[in-house]
Amino acid sequence: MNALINQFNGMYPEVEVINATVAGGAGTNAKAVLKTRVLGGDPPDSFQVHAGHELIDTWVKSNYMEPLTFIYKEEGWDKSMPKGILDIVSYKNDYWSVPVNIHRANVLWYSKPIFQKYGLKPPRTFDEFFKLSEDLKAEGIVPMVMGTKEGWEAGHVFEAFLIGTLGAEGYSGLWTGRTKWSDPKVTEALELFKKMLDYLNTDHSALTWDEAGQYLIQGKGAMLIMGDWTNGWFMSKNYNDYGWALPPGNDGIFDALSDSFGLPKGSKNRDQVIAFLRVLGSRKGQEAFNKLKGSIPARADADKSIFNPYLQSTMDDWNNHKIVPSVIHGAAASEGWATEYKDVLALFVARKDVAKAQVALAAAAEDAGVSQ
Amino acid sequence: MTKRIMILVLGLCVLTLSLLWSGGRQETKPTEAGMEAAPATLTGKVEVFS
Repeated sequence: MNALINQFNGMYPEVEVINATVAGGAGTNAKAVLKTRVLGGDPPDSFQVHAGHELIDTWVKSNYMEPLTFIYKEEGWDKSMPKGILDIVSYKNDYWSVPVNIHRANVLWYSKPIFQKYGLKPPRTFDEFFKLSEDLKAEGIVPMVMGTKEGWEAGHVFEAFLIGTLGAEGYSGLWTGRTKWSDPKVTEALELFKKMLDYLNTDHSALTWDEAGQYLIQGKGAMLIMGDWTNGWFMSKNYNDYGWALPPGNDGIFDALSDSFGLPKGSKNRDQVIAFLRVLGSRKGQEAFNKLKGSIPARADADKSIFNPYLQSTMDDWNNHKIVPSVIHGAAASEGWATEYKDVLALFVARKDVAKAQVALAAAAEDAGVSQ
Repeated sequence: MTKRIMILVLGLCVLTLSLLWSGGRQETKPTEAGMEAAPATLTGKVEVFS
């Protein structure tokens, strides 16, 4: 974010940017503070929101936002951003936020030294995953690391398991009703996820995702399924001994989310925030922001050569893989549904009851109006 | 003759309006590729919640 602010201040040195950051919880902490402010009639001039259902269902339909179509037209963003991105910031023929990036949620990060030491290759199937996990466990290595302290992480990892058993169309169908939550492949995903829990670090409930990531940095843990902000985090830790692959069964599928910024009604510094949003959507703004954040630009015309090898490979995948929406990060379902889903998975980690979890997931879909 | 005077007056009106319009517009400065012109001067603050 500082890279963007620096760029903005280079153009507008007399405008002070107050970056009110609320860290943690995949944005859940920030969301709570934001809601209090907006409902209390004191919105910030702009705020970060996941493009997709989180933006449209939570903020746009409830009439808290200003449309930004005029900026899109003036800046030509309706031509420089891919249709898939434009679709998820659109509602009733208007654009409602400025997407700054694309994140990939389904990445399996692994420790290169550990994989090299034991002659391993990243697992492409669940069978390979569990065989490899068993071997590593026998060597005293934690096969799979996860932090579940903030409550959303299990739901995040489970997305990859659902994709792994259902495929792109089956997974996407869960959020539209085409796939039922009673589907045997959902049962299979829950069973596999339950089995995976046996190979986790035992202190997962006390750790955030990045604290768990320290297992890789310290050479004690082998694999971590997490979004590609992990790439930015590794860079910030000067850690380079990592490899990346797709989780088992995820070949050719890109589980996506996009961070965006909107303009709430009642902004007290409207001219300034519109100028800021123009910088967010600009090519140079997106290049500066994403290079450091570890994500790829939402714009299609960014200079690929300035990004690191992981991000370059992700830019290729973005153009070639099937795109599916992340639920835990606001793209696939309404906030209420995503929250229920998150809570079911958090409970599942503790209780490991496949049947009850599946019934609860189906009930969450029903609650969201998606008939089962 | 009257017609010529009317055309002259009309022309002067158009010229005056056009000068007023260009003088009243905010000065703009060119920005980087992918961005349209932005106001040259802007002061104050902006609060961004991320």
